[in-house]
Formats: sequence, structure tokens, C-alpha cells
Amino acid sequence: MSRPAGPAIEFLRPTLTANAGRRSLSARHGLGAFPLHSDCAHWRRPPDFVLIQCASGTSTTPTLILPLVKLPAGLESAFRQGMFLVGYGRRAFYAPAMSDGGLRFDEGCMRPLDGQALRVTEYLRATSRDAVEFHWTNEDTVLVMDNRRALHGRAPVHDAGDRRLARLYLGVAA
Amino acid sequence: MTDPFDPDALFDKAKLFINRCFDAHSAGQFDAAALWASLALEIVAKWALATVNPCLIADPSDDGTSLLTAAGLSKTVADFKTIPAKAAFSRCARAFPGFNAREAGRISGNRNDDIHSGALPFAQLDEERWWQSYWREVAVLLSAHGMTVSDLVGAENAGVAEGYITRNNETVSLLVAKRIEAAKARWESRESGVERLGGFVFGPEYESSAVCPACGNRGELMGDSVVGEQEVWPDSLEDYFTPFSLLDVASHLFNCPFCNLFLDGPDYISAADLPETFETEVAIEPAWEEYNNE
Repeated sequence: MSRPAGPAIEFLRPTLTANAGRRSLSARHGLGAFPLHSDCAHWRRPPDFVLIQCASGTSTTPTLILPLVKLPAGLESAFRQGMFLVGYGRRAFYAPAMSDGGLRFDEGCMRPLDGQALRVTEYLRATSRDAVEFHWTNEDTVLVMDNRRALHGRAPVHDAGDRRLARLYLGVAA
Repeated sequence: MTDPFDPDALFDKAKLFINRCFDAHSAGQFDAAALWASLALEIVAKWALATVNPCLIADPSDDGTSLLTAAGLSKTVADFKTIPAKAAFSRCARAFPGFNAREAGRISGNRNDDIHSGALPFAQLDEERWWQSYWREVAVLLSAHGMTVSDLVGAENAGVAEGYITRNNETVSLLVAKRIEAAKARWESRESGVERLGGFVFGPEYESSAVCPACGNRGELMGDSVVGEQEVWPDSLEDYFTPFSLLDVASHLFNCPFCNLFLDGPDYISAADLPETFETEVAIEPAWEEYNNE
């Protein structure tokens, strides 16, 4: 899977706001922390898995991962029912945080539209402190994330170093 | 672009409106809750029709633009227009037996009064009764596609909606019992020589008769929604050329011209133990004259 007209494998580097693509997380956060999100949440069907390989260099900036294998008690219904506006302009659509058995969440492209969606957003913000750190200490390290059952983010970049990550999206045929 | 006639898009929008309805409901704001609910009802009605075929909600009066788009033959999605709520409800009443277009029309009438004038329609309503009636109509549309209110409102609020539906059934049973009692009393205390206390009703397309539960005379049982059809070609030679269709029609209205008992709505018919469907015959025009095997 890839972005429309985009390459299958994309290379990622810590990027300053001024140099970032208009709607990228770097445009909003620069070298600051990336909030927890699922990748391509604005796609009708977000990728099922994200593969990231440390293509070159190492880094002291960890990737943050929050597994959500089981929905929190008391919020199961809100995850499936609370509606978000997803995406922008003509391609925007409504969707809950959990649909088709998978998670979709990114405050960069999803806006909560009702009380239940707001509760989901507040919960995920609050639980971001429980995210585990994954460190890129070795070149060629590969991280495979279940994009529909875990959120991920990035800690603030203090030393950009020469880290270069390669990213590939995978979708499982229905 | 999200297709405005896409059933999934319609259902997600209905869910959003219902969520906002419950947000207001839990804050004790009946007027806001009812406004969101009435908006959701129109979308649910259009979802129910579009699930069968998106063309059913396309505006037929724009020279085919919307119909072609809904049929997938044109991509002018931005110009797509849907039918008005009234037309959607009317179609739902014919397509999904049990749906009460008149009740739905009352609900959307409240909405129109609220957003188009300085009137305060929701302030004058019996809230409990309004919700009972509202959730019944929504449940009928959902059940037409094998769904329940829980699918629309989510597990968190399903109990609230289901509670209204249960109480609606109880209320309707009570109302019907009172109407039957009153009609019976009217009939028994009529002046001597009076043959009928009521008149005949015109409106629904199909009609049969049924024994009036109040006075025992035969009243009119009427409906528009055909749920079954069978062509009958009589065996006898003299009748063979007068075939007819035997229709099963969902009962929607009962009117007794004798005691003036009037029951409007499938739930009222059911509560009075009147038949939920009736048979009626419609003549088939044989196409003999068109057949010209020259």
C-alpha cells in the first residue's frame, strides 16, 4: 500500500516545520513530540501494518507505541459509536475510532464531533503516558506495528543525528 | 468525495446526529435533542431507501442529473440532490410495512417549525410520548434491513431507546383500548334510527373490511403497501378471460363508519387485534388487444 502517486517505500528523517510537507506531522510539530496516532487514519481503509526499518544511522529518539488490543472498560461503545470528521475538504468523511475491527485515530486529521468521540480523544491523550519506547540503537533494526491495534508516536528530537527510517505500509486482503 | 447517496455515509451521518441527540438528551435539553433526532430520522429514512437502491433518494426533477449520478452513470456528485423528507417518508411507508409516514411527517413538521420560524414547537410537546413515537419509527426502518436501534445508537444508549419503544407499545395498547371503549359507548348510546355515526375514509390505495372491535359491524381496513402478489387465472371457461391479482396488503388504517372508531398506524391496528395484512383483488387488464400476430 502507498499514498496516491507515492512510492511504496518512504524514507523519514526528523524535519523542521519550515521544511515539512503542508499536512505532515512535522509541519505541525517539527522536531517536537509526535502525538500518538495510527498511520493514514484519513484513508478509507488505513493500512493494517506499518514496517519501519532503520535504513541508516542510529538515533536517541525513540518511537512510542501504545498497544490497544482490548478497548478500555466503559468506553467500548464510545470507540465504536463516537463520530469523528476524518480528513479534509471533498474527501472528508465520518468515522468512529474503531470500525471494521480496527483502530483509527489521529488528531492531525480527525476532529471529534460529539460527546462520545470527545471522551475517546481525552482517553487516548491521557493514556499516551503509558506508551512504551522503542529505541533505534542498531542499524537495520525492523519494527513491525499493527496499525489497527496500536497507536504510535515519536518522542521529541533532541539530537537528529543521521537517522533515516524506511517505511512500508501493508494491507491484509479482506 | 463521499457519495451523498452512499448508504454507509448516510448511516454514519445518522449516527452522528443521534449521538448529538443523546448529548443534548443527557443534558436535559429536549428541544436540541429532538431537533437532532428529527434530522436523524430523515437521514435514516434515506439510508433505508438507498440501501435498496440509491436511485430511490435521487431528486427526479432535475432532468435526470441526480438519478444518473445515483445509478453510477454520471460523476456529477456535487450536483446530486435528494428527495424531500416528505417524499422519503411516503416511500418508506410503501416500501417498509409498519412505518408510519404520518407520524414521521409530524416529527419533521416539528423540526421545520423550529428552524424556519420563531415558533417553539418542541416546548409544546409531551416529551415522553414524542420519544416513544420517534423511536418506534426509527426501529421499523432499521428492522427493515435486519438491524436494531443498538446498531444506530450504540450499546451505551440502546437501553434508553429500547425503553421508549417498550413504553410506546404499552401506551398504544392503552390508547387503543380507550378508543375502542369510547366508540363502543358512542355506538350503544346512539339515538334510535341513526345508522352510522361516522363517514368513509379515502386515501390509501387498497381496501378491505374487518369486524370492528368496538361495535361488531364491518369497518374499512386500508393500506398502500403490497407485501405479496399472486396472479389468478380462473379455471372456468367463462371467467378465464377475467384474471385478477390477489394482493396481500399491510394494514395501515382502520375506520368504522358505524361507531366512528378510527385507528391510524400499523401499531394501532396490531394493538386492536385487527389483521396486520389483508387480501384484496385487483383486476388484470389482459393484453389481448396488444397481441397482434399478423
